[in-house]
Amino acid sequence: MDGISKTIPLVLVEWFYHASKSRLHLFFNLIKFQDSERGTRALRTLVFFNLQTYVMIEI
Amino acid sequence: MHHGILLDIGSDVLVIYNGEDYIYIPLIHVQRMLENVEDPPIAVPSNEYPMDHLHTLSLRSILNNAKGMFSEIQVTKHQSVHGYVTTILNDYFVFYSPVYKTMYIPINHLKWLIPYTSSQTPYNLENDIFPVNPTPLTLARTFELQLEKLIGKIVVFDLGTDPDRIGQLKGIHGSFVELVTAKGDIVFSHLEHIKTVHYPS
Repeated sequence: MDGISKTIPLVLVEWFYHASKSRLHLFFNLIKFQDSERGTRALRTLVFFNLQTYVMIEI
Repeated sequence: MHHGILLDIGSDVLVIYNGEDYIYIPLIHVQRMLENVEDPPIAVPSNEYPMDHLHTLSLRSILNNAKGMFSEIQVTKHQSVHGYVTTILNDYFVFYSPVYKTMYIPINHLKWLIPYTSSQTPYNLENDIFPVNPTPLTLARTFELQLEKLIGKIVVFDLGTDPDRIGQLKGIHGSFVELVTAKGDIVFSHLEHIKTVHYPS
């Protein structure tokens, strides 16, 4: 996980951090991000800030 | 839909624990994730991961760790396969299933992998049933080149749930694979949409 904050724009990290803190925006939809590097990075960040959370994942 | 505690994230794969199994899911196949507030929470596992996460956690490293280890994988939509990874090539891996025997599977079609955490064997078969090196053919670097080796043979795509996915492999034309079905119909399948290949030995 090292280096996430270096590879993702800070504003995106902060947005995901606050979203995960509030637990209101854990729900998200990655369909439009599929196959994109940006989508994968965003997902990694979101997961990183929500480790140990009980989730449901649709694949 | 998979339910579980988010445990770890790597470059292209995440791990959840559903109270019984560790599920490794490639990020590319994650369509939706939401917090599970419906079910009673499950405890974070205290035992070690079935695979080594300490150095790198990526799909390729997971497949490497899964070599020779019994696991359940899902590639096609509704059916999982039990067996073990034997070899990993550039864009596909070889999986041995006691049901389908040797299978060739493009890495990008792997939806999830669950390593067995107990000493159980698939279908409770004896260990000596499982060959160490089950591949009768030499292995090409890429999935397309491996398919070329099967020209002239009866092959089964995507576990054979659709009759149009079973037939004699006649050739590969660019991105399309030509198959002749049991009734003599010619079917072209796009290479990118073939999820599994096996053939009767």
